[in-house]
Amino acid sequence: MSSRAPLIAETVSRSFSGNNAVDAVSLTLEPGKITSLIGHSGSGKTTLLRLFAGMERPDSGRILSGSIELSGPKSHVPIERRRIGLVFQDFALFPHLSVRENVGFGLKRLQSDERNACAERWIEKLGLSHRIDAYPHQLSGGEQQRTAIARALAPEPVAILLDEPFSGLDPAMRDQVRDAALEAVRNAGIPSLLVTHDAKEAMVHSDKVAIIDRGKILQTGTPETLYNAPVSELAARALGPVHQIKRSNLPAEWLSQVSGSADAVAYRPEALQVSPGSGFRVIRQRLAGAVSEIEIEGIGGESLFAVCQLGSKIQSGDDVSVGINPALFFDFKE
Amino acid sequence: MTLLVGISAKRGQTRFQMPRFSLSPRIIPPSLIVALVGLPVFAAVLTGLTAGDGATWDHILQNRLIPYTLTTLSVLFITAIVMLGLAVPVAWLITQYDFPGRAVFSWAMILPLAMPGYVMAYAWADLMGVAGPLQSWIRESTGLSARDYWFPNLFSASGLAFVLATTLFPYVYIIARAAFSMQSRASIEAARSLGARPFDLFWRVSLPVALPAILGGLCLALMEAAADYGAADFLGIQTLGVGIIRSWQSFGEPNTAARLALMLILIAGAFLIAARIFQGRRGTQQTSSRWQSQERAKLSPLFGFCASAACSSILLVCFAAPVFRLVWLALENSASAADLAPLIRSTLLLGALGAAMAFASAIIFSLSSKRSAALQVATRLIAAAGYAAPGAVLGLGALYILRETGQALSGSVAIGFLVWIYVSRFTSAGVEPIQASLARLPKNLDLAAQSLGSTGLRQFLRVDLPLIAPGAFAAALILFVEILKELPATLMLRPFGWDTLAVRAHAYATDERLAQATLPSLLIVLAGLAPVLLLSWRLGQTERT
Amino acid sequence: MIKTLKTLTGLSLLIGAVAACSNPAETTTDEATAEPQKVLTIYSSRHYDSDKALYAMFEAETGARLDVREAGASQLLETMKAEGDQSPADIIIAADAGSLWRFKDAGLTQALESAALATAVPATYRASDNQWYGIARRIRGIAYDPSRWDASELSTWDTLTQEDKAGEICVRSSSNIYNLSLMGEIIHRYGEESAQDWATAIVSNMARNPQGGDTDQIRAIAAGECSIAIVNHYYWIRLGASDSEADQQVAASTSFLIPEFVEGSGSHVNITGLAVAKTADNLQLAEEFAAFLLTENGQSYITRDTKELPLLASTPLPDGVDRVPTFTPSDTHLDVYGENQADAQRLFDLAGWN
Repeated sequence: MSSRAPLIAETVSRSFSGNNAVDAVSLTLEPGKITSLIGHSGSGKTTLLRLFAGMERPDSGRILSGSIELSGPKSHVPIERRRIGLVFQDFALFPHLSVRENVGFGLKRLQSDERNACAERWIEKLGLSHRIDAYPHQLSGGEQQRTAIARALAPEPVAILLDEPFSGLDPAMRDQVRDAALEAVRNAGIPSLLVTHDAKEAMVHSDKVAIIDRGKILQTGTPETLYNAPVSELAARALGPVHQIKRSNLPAEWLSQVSGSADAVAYRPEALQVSPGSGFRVIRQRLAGAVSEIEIEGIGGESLFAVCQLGSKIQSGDDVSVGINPALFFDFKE
Repeated sequence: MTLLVGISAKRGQTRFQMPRFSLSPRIIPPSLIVALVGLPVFAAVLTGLTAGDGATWDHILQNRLIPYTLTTLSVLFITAIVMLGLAVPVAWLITQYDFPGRAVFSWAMILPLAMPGYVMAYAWADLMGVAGPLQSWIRESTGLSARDYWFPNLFSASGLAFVLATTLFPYVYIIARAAFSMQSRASIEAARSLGARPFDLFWRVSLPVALPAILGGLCLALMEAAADYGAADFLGIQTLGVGIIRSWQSFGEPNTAARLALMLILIAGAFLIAARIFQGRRGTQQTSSRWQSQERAKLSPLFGFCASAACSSILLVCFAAPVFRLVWLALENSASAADLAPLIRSTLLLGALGAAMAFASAIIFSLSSKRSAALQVATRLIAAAGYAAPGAVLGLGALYILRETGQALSGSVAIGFLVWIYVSRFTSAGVEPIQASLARLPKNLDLAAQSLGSTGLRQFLRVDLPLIAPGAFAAALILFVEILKELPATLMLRPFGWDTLAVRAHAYATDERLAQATLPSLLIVLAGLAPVLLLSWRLGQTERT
Repeated sequence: MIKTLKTLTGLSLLIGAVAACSNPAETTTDEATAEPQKVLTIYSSRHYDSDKALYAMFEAETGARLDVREAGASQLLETMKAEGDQSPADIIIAADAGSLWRFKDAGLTQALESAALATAVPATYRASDNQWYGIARRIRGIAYDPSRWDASELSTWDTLTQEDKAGEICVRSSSNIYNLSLMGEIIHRYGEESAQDWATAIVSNMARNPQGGDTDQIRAIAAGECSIAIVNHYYWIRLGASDSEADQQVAASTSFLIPEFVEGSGSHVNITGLAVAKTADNLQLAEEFAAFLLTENGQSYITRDTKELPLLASTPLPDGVDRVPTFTPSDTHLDVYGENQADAQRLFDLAGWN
């Protein structure tokens, strides 16, 4: 098996007692790239990961590593022979083994000194050298996380699958751990799948994003494509807030810029550019992290929603003028 | 009684938070229970130490103590190996794989628990003895004489270990099954993704993770094995248990017997401490926030058949064959079922009463010690001392106490003492499953409950009890079955007209009327079956959720 | 410190509570009847269904109620010691002379002077001070394979130490009371040293480690594992009277004899016996009971299931017991068994007789 081969799902389906958890999904994980799989809980994302890993057998379709069939109608390479690294949400470290022994677990075929050297190399790469003899229950969440990633990467797998690996960490630590961890994953040069429900995480850290809903892939592409050109409202919502407005309630000067013909149009809040001026009134304003969200009185009782930078000093009750970026208006009913 | 103290404790605590180690009324219920459980052992050992010397002790010390101890240790060692060899692989197979009959084996493996050790010894001695059906068949079919061939000798240390292990391994099995099925599925999958084959999974992941729990169960089973007298005596093996009864009966020195019992208690204490140290050294199992019900891998037809065959043969050896032999003997000798009804009634009544009291004691033991590791070790050691002491020695302790009260051993005094000895002897068997449940609870639960104004009895009823319900249920059933089977203390302390099935079976068996002993023995097994089945069912439920 | 105090207080409270609620419970029901019923409490170390029939008969005859506690003799003895003055025991029944001696030695019995009993029970089978009386006899003898041995080759206990018996003897564990009693008489006759030598020689002639009960030893002869078994007579008789065909065959293929110590010494005999407890409060009823057991009717019930030998010469033998050969009892007083019991166990231990 070449370690540079992509990991491919070819129209795989898997149903549990009649429910299609994964429904004819095709997805290619390119080597050296992080592919994020994003979806709500119950959307089938974990099942798809389990199909890649070999923990589940597809009802139909195939899983391939390059040209080699891992799962197919007749064949099924069991999980222990796939050489696919796994990282779980709860890390699933072996509680009876130290960090060194956990990382060395998959290196059974090596001599013990070689195994230790290899494990130490990975431990160092993930910045855990000072905790090398600690047991999992003595580690912080971030340390457990990095141990789990070192353990998955140490045996030089042909791919690595991460199942919501950061959701168990507290937010302050999450960014710091995530950068280091995903750096190590990307450097391994193998296909990697990051299952997440955090849109920001998917957009910031991956090369490619796939959106899954009710067992079907809605859209696949770069984060930019998906954000700027969603194919459906569901796909659009997966990556960030989307608002709707009746075409008839759009201010007249915008109508020419917003293409399409459906009754309702969708837009991202960033599509509205708010500046001090006149023409619109701010009804409500509130802080949302680095930006503030504002609600603007619109036509026909339908409010408009926008975001603006914190420094803008726009208050509720202010009169503002609003311009638009037509690229972030979507018409899904063509 | 303890309930009253519990309420007053609550009253004392509602307004002011008492400093932790001061004279909080909270410690009164546990102290009482500790005293209650510990007193008979304490009385026996103290009398043994102060009055147990003399010519008999000198003789035992010089000539018998070392052989008794070595024999006991070797029996326990072999028992431990056999129990682990039976229980752990079966529990692993049943939790991890699917094979024909798995669902049945899953609960049927607990059945041998209904079988008292002495009954198992009668049955197997009859089956395996030189005049038994197996050896007779060998002689008939080969024409050899009894001196011309080798046959495994049940009347040996290994034979005794075999008999004890076959009745006690379900303890280890129950705990191993729970430990395996609660293991995070993710760590198994992680191990597989790292290339671990089933064999590796067992040796490198599941077993080490489950080992602390399994050792706890093993300790419990070994303590009960150490306290055995009936099977060892019947098979003629010179264990400490036999030596204790011999000092009493042959030498007429009950005090020396009590002194000798200290040796058994020390061995049990050593086991418990060793297990504790071992458990402490290992990391604790992470509780997985995300575990789904385990999906079992289906074994190939060949392996599936092997697994079924292995489980069937274990059941055959540990339950079906001896029970079948007893039924056969009962039928062959047309054993009479006359006047067994009062025996059944008193067996069930004493079992229920004893189990209820021992259960309450175990609950108070577990809950009161959960805040302090030191208290936990201390209470466990005391309970273990009662569990490891032969029932006859506890009975002796009860008689020493009775002497101080100036009462006759009849009516409610006798029942009171008998139930007391049940509590003293079996609290440990109830504490273990309850503490296993407690250990799984989040640490902050107590604080959460207290912050909501729930303390003392209220907290116990509304928070603790519902949460430990699965373990508590198992504990209650185990206690009931244990007390059904109990013999020496019941024999000594029961009031007039309160013969139990075990007493009757023993009366026949000591007079070598095994055929008559079979019917009461079978009834003990039968009476034990219902709670054991309930236990299996319940354990299956908790593990599935 | 205060903790301990509190513990003790709580404890005494608890014991007090148990004691307080215990006293009257049993007697109240009896007082309800118009005339207080006479109650005779028996502490017995034997258990036979025929005993129950016997007790029922006595109850019917006298209108008294019998409360029976059955347990091992040594446990009954400790129970009586613990109960002290409060003990309800009136009658003690034990299945060997040594145990009766122990009850007497512990001061738990009292003399029962009765001319009727004195005539019924020969002097050897009762205590010299009338503290206990025998009610049935049990004989320790030798079951053997008649195709292998002639009775003359096994006529004394010493013949078992001969070299030609090597690997031929089956016997149960030394802590069995009948082995202890036999050893007790051997110690009495020959002294400790010779007794230990005898035991050592037996051990070296054993076919296998001591194990099982007497019946198992007889079965082992039939199975061919050994050819000599030291057993009580009634186990051999019961095999012959068993429902099981296999057992009957075992009895048919073996013989039983009652050896002496030396020619003309007489044979070792043990008893089932009875003593009146020191705490007995109705001596007349106790005596009635003892006398009842020594009637022909009482004797036949006592021995019917057990296959013991009746003590009363006029009583017909129970079914099958006529197969027991005639013998002359030894004149050693049975108190010896109890006196020597601890020494017997010690010497067995030293001889390596498990």
